[in-house]
Amino acid sequence: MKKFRVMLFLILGLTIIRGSDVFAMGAKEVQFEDGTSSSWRGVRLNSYMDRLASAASGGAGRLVPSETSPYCYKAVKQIIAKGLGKDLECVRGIITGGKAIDAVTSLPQAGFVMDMTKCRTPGAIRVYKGVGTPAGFKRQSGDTAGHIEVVGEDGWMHSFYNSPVPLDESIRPPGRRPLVGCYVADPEKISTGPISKCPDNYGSALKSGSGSGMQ
Amino acid sequence: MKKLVLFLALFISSTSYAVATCKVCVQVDRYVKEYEEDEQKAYEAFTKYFSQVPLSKNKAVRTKEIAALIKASDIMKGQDDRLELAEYLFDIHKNYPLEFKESLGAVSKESQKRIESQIKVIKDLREKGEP
Repeated sequence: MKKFRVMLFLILGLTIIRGSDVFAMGAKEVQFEDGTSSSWRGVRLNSYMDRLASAASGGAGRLVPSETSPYCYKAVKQIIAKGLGKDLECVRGIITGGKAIDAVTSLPQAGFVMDMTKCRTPGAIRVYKGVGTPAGFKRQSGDTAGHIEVVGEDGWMHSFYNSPVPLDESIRPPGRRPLVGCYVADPEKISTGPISKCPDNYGSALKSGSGSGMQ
Repeated sequence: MKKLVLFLALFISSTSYAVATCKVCVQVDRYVKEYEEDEQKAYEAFTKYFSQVPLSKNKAVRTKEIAALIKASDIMKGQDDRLELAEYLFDIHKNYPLEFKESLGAVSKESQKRIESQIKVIKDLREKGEP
């Protein structure tokens, strides 16, 4: 009988420990695939980032018609909607603005946090500002609007086009489009923020308004 | 009368000289030929050149230069995912609308429609932002 009680106690103890791991009630250090870590509460291997990266690499930013749609911000909004499995129009109502540089204000409101140590982490959203047209060069729209792109699971940069190299490393002349922010999904803020209230789309299993909401 | 003949002779010779020496056309032709061998490399070189190329002050030469740039941009459109060439064509269209219109005949009707559509989109983008 005593042995039975001990066994029962051990089983109960293990279940509680395992349960706290699953639901991540306290701050928990999580190691990501890229070697970085986070101590966000409620993080379970940051699947938001994985899903954003997957949506980006999967071509969610592709615009139609592609040959006349130089809209990087619009493309990134599509990637976010697809990645989070939320209705695009609803997401566009939260991540607002018609210029890439507007994302600096709207992404934090949507539950993304700036983390300049994760600029190459798949799922990170990179925002660049325009600094005007350099002397001797023809103008580009991004010289005032800036640019925005998402790091895909393939490590490429995705917006309305795909590139193996980030814009700040490929643009001529260097310094024309400085990187001003790298934004990563904060699971807790996203799962409780305004995007969580958007209707599901793309067959997502993301739970609206739920405290965990992670897959 | 003699002066008029002399003036006309000088005008014609200077114009034909200018047309004959469309250096931009020659350089652009090189990129187009390179494109047949290595599309990516030639596209990168051409966009770099296009981003900074100064156009002639002579209208006749400039028209030829613009025609060459439009034609090459059309040939390389398959590599222009980021629509950089479209941005530069818009720039030329804005600064030299008459010569641009005159030069657009260098490409097919279908390409003309695509380029005109791109120009409209970029104009709206710069004035109003993304939709």
